Amino acid sequence: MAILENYIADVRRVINEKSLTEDVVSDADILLNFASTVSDDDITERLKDGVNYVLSRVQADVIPSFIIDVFPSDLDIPYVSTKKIIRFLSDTAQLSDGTVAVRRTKKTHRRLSEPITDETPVYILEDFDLKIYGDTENPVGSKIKAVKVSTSSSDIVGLGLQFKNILVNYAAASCLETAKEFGLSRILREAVTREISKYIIPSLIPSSE
Amino acid sequence: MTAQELITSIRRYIGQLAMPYESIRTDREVYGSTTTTFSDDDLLARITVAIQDIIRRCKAIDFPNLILRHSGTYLNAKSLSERIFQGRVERHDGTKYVNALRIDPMEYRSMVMSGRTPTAEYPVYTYRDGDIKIYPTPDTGSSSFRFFSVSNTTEILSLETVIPLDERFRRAMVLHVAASCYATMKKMEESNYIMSLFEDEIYPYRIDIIYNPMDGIESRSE
Repeated sequence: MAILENYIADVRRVINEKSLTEDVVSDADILLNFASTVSDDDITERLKDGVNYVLSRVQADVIPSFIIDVFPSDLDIPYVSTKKIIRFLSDTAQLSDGTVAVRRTKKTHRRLSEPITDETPVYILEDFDLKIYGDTENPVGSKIKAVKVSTSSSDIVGLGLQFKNILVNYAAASCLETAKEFGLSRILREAVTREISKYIIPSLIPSSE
Repeated sequence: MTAQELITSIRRYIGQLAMPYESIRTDREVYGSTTTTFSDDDLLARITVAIQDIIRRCKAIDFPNLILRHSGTYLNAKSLSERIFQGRVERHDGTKYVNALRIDPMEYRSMVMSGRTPTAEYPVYTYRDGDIKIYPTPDTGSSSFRFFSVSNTTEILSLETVIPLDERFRRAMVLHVAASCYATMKKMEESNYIMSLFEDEIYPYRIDIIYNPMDGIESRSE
């Protein structure tokens, strides 16, 4: 069973550092020794950033625990919902009974005169506006799936072991940048890019590749 | 996430201690240390720049707290907005808001010349040089039409201010500020490298197309 301490220990292994003594709680406590020692809190923060880095780039089917339901009312402005969304999963809009709705652009929706029925539902997702048409039974129950933002350090472990290396290298690269070791950092960054490419969303692959 | 928390992250990233004296407000006041230590005030200013840069370059769907709804007061909205959602201009027909279709001013002219006029059911609007005109012209009143825009107001005044961008942009903000600090320290190579990390960080959130402020099209392709 993976625990956060394992991740932190792994980062220390990569950057070849010992852990801090109990008394030292943050980098700022070590006078004139900055950039050479990194606290647990600091590493955890860098790992947390790594989680959102992964979530924003990988395909949704490898991060099932980060998928949430979003209802059109969640996007009402002013935005008060606590749901923080990295991206919507476009082919997953559903009516309350589970019927899948087809995506349409606003422009097409205005131009087409095809009637919308319960059998041929459509949805529009543009300009932070989600409208699902065709749910006569329970309009407020229509929903779309989305990937949520990670806000907690428990998500580091929750992301799954297949992403451990990516997170460790990401955090280690970040520590090395602090230590002004940009050459080493670049090598780890490349390792992160290489490893994440197995799971990456196709539209995010640079066109030069 | 508050500005104070973000500053802690930035100091961690650039490997710097906080300044020990309350009275030191800017770097220049620290003799012999002008480019090595950054005060909280200085970092706050750099955070604001970072946030504005992110707002300018990323899709508004990623910072919903900064989306504004305006009712019938366009002039005021102009100074508050980075850009409007062109697909969300709505005219009030007396009972409800109806989405208006954007057309080119010339297109509107030829439309009128040919005897066709927009109706309350199918309103249109033109948008040029920062001016919205809705047809049929709505009644005067604050609720006669409404539209949505992305705010550009990100002035951060204190350490307690809650940053309007959420966790996914924390790293991007840290990198942007760090690059700016390195530039101040005349370490341009490091600054450039960190800026390239920033670009990588915001890559999934970028707006796909080039646009002019206040005249942009906001669209997201999944």
